[in-house]
Amino acid sequence: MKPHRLALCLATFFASCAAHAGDLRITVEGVKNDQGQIMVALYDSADGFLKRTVKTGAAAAANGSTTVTIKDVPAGAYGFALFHDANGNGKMDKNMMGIPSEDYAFSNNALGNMGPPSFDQARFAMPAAGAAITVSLR
Amino acid sequence: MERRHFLTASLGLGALALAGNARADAETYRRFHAALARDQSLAVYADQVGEQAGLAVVEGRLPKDLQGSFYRNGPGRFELGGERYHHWFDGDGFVQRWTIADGKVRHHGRFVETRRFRDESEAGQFLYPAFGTMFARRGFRDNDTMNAANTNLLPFNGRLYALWEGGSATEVDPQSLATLGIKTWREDVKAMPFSAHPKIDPAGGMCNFGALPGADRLALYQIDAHGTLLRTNVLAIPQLAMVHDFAVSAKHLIFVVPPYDMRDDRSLSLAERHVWAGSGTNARPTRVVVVAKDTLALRQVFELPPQMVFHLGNAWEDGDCTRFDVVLHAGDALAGLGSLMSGARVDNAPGRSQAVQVCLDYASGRATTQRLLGPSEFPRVMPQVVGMRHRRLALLSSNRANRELVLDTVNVVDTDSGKVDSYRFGAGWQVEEHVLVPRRGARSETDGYLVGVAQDTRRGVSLMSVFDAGKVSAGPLALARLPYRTPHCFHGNFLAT
Repeated sequence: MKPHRLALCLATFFASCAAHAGDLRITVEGVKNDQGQIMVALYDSADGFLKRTVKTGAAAAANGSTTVTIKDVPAGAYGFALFHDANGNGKMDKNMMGIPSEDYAFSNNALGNMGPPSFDQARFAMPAAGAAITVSLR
Repeated sequence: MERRHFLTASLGLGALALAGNARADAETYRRFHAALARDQSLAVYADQVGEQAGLAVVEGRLPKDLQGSFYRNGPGRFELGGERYHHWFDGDGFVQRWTIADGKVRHHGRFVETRRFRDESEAGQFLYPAFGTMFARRGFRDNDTMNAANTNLLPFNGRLYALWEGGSATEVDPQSLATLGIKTWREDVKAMPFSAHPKIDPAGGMCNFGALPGADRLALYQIDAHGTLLRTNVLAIPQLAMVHDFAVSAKHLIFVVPPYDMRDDRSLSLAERHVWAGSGTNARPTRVVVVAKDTLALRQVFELPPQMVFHLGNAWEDGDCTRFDVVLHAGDALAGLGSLMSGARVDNAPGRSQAVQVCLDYASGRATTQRLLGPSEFPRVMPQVVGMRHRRLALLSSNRANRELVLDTVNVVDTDSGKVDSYRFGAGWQVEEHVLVPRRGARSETDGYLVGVAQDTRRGVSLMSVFDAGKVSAGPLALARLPYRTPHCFHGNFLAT
């Protein structure tokens, strides 16, 4: 592919996105320290919830409150899961019994009962103009 | 996340994965209160509200060399918003301290202010799943949100811990009993199950375990005298159900795993998911799982006829064998305990349980049992013999004449000769766990006291009882009577001053 054709493709792509996609701005409160990253996974269906990620985002952890922005999210219904990867190993650590040992949260601050919440509990509407959502790790 | 889907495997409570709807428990509440109106002795299982403090009246003579704090713990809150728990193990921990000083005995009791206690008090109703009652009114992050801190109260390294078994220890202030918070021994074991029956090494330090029924995993902990976590391991034990206690010898950790299948129904409580698998044509044995103390690796598994187990006594090495005491219950004793909450006591059937000493012969792979006492519970030994050869075992029992199972007798059994030294409080009395307390510099296991709590159900008051550990049948040396009833405790420990 020649450079100008790539540029043209990208331009078309972005233009089409811009028409009905916005930025999802997630403010994460209760971040315990400045270490590692806040990592977010976005899902768009009950079937794919916690299985098929449609977009991901990450930002360096800032003590207290951290903002992660996921760009160009098409309008629709979504749920996200996020965790504070404090040791920067790229995964959510669990202890020997399989219990999460790093802080986590779901959209709507949804919490499960002996397991993760359902997509319905975590579901929120994403308008074309974008959205700003706050969740807490506490 | 493995970036893409970090929670796919659930939150690690996968095997416990429940969702389900909260069930109203107003019926248990109604039945209990109807039964209580007919039989005041059931007040032992009644709901407690608020704090207690009082001075006891001492009858008899308190030994001058018995001074200190007798720390105890048991479930206190069973009811909220017109609902009542289904199982005795569900209630919120109410920690108690009997202080013996200068010939006086004072009592103080208050609730452990766990996350669960605070959230549910604020909401005015039960929110989270309890061991024997399913509530799913609010989601939660980990085991410690459900922590009831209701099973034991352990002084260790100058601190005091209210213990549960499905999550962390909760630290409380040894003087005021005020809740200080969840104890995390090390970040990587945060919120892991930590049983209510740690074994304190007479030379310092402790061993403990944690079990997740249905997850088939047994966590092991070795902690030094300063509270530093030295070593951990997780063993995969197939078909692991409730494991409440263990025993420790000089070389081994001994676990007794009763035969239960774990039902996968997410609408049921953990207790209700335990299905007895020790009867019928496909009956499975009770397993004795032996772990090497130096490596925390599995050494050998023995089999016993199918029986339920809550408590073990002590374990010691006898040549090429390991011996330990255990109370074996016929059939599904876990479900049987549930009926207490609706005001129905269990029948005092002679064959329902027995205390035995088990001998594990590693060469032949056989486990043999020798009877110590009939139906009984709450085995304890002197603290200075834990892990070593012992000759005395304290137990509670119910007199044969009782139609219903009411523990009314305290016993010290000579585990060598089988001789039993007993005292029966009699009709209208119900005894709680009694612990053996050595005299300073004790030369034998009878050189000390047997200290516990007895409930005088006719007067609706509680007493601390003190026996000579070598002469229980002579009756209590002293009884310290409170002007009120204290919530029934499961376990406790005496800290001498």
